[in-house]
Amino acid sequence: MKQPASPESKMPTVTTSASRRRPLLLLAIMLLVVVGVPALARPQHIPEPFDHAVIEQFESAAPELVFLGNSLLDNRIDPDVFTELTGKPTVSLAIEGTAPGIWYLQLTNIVAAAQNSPATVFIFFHDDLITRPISFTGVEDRSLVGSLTHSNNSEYGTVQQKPQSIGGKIRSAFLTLYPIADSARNQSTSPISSIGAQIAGLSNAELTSGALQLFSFADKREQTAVIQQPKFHGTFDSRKSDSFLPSIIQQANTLNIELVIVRVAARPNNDGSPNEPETLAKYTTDLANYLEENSVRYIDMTGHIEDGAIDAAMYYDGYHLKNRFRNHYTEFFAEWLLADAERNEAQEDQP
Amino acid sequence: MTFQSLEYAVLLVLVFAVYWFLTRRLQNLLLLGASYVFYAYVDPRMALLLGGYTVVNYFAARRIKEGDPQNSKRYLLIAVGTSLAALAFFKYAGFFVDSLAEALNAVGLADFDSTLKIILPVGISFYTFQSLGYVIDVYMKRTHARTNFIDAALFISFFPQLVAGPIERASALLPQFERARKFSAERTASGISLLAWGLFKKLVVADNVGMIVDNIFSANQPGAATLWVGVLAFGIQILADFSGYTDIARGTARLFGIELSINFRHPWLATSPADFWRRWHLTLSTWLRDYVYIPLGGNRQGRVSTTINLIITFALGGLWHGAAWNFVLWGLLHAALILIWRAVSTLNLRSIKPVSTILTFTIISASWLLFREGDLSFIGDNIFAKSNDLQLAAALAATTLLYSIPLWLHAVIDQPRIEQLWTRNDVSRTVALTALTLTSFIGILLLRADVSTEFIYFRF
Repeated sequence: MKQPASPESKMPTVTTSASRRRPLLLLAIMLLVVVGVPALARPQHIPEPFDHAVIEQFESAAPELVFLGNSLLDNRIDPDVFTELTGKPTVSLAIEGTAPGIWYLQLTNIVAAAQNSPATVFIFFHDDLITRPISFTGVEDRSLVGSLTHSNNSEYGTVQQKPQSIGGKIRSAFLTLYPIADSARNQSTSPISSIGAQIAGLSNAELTSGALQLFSFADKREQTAVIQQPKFHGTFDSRKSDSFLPSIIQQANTLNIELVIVRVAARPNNDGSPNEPETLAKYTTDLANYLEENSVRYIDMTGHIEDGAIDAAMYYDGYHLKNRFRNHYTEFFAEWLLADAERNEAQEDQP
Repeated sequence: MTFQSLEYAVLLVLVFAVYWFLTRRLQNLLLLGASYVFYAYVDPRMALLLGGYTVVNYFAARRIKEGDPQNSKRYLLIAVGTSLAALAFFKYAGFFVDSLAEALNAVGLADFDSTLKIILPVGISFYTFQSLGYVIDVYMKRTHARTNFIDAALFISFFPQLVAGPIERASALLPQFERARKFSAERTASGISLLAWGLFKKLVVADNVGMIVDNIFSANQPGAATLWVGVLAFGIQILADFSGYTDIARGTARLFGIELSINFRHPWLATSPADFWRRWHLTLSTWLRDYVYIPLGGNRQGRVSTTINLIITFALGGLWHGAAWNFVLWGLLHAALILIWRAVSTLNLRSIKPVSTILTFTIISASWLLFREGDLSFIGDNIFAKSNDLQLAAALAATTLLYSIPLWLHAVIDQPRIEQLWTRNDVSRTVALTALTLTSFIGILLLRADVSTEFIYFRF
């Protein structure tokens, strides 16, 4: 049987040590250039300036109630419907993919900076996100961090320096060696998308707004039922000091704002039971106790799965709701809050 | 474990650091161990399945070699039957049960929901075809049955090409494992360069364009213009994704002195649908040609028989990609395209090369719609629907085409006449490889997508 020619058979026969060393030398030069040249580029980082327009918009709305959170909040609460139902001006500052770091910045630099503070701030989170020392659940958006950060906002940076995993440490070392890898993260739109937009006669802002409109979460197709494994990164006691939670509570106290922490429920199991592992249930109990000690109100929406108010059919995926249930959830949440307030008042009126 | 993960980089560096200090047998043992670590990393049960395939095909091949013709045939049937049964169970059982349930529900004979959910072992379609090819080749006396279990096991599980090909033939890959390998700085340099270029295609082109595709296909009502931009973008994404995977696989194998088969020859330059299949996923199309189309009779038994054989081969090729009707339709569409092109060959379109290339590119790009979208009602609702934002569609199309520029440039510089310029001597070759690797690396650092998704062909 004919064997295929080996790649080696095409190589020239080497005879001298000099000719043996030459390919090795060329390989070494190639590696040195490839590894070394990108490390020489040290772009200067110009941070995104703080966006004062957000404060102006917030002040003009003069909200009594404010919601902070990510897409899980955005596809559950419609602030206009909530305003109608409660009679209290409501604003939602939900930004898709954000985590406590960003909510802390919004509380500190938008809510606190407004002339009239709202009465209540609701923060929506899932699983153990409220004690995660992160600003984004996915990709880091430095321009958003910049637009929400005052130059004197040092505490944010302090929390960012908390210990990292091995993968995080390797990533940090890589970014130290190649700072150009990080420069792309400081741009809100990729350069290729910007050129693409220009070719079509659009500005970056128009491209972003058009894309947000067409591809908004609320307008996505339904997925098949997904049960996700709830995320758990450690016990509450081991996580709380590294998190933004103490800073958020302290800021709310300083502003004399009522803080309400709301945990949204993951899509229930097929048998209708809550998707809640034991470790997470223990975490939730410890979180509830901690918040009670600090006079912070806590609402766990997992309880409403057990009473049948929220069921699996309402879910788009493991956590997000289908768009058509947004108003339903808003109404349910508002009515439940009003009823709860009435119950509390009645209890206080009792001798 | 995926090629773009930190874990893979660690595995690759560790294996490479040890590999060239070992004897041939130990090298093969190390590669086999690394292959099982690679495959078992996500789910160790999958390694048991791979081991099962290896044992069945190894012993069947040996029995085929030793036995008389009747026994040989029996062992061939056992090996082929076992491999196809495993593939049918893991990949197609859910599809057929669901289809049966739908058919029975439609005619009112039954009323039930199919809830058969089976985990699809990654790469099962690839290693099933590779191991089948081995036993069939032994039976056909195109290669001999291997007695060394390690070599045979490594042939079925070699980690660079285990989960998404290229689908290798025993006669091409096994002899390389059976020969002593010497370290070659030149081959290592070209391997690194190929690996970097493959990563660029995946992390910069496929993942960025993939975000556009995913957004368009997840929108409730994108409208026709945006949907067709999504289809064009998917054609670019899948080429960058799959050929990127193949380049990483070939580059990795080269670091260990192993040469894997070429799987792509710039399919965008195809001048007809048939020519496309001589340039796209070559190792699958030649496998289907040699083990399905030709055994069925190929083009030797008249026009009607040739047409039927072609349709069967392409339908099976479509089904190989995924257990869903849209893949079968996609395969049948390609068979139809080839037949129609043959029918109009009197127009001699191929002689007007730019016209035939543009026409083929357009037709093939459009055909990806059936590959990408399984919900035929979604296609029906949007394929002629008005798009609300044509400027946005134009911006997305422009962005997609900009991301594809490096692939077009590569198609140009990879032409033999231009390749001669940079392969004149070892210095010009090193300069060219350094330039390609450096450009790929800087491109990845600056332009990589925010999120890297799984390789598309991992699903098959």
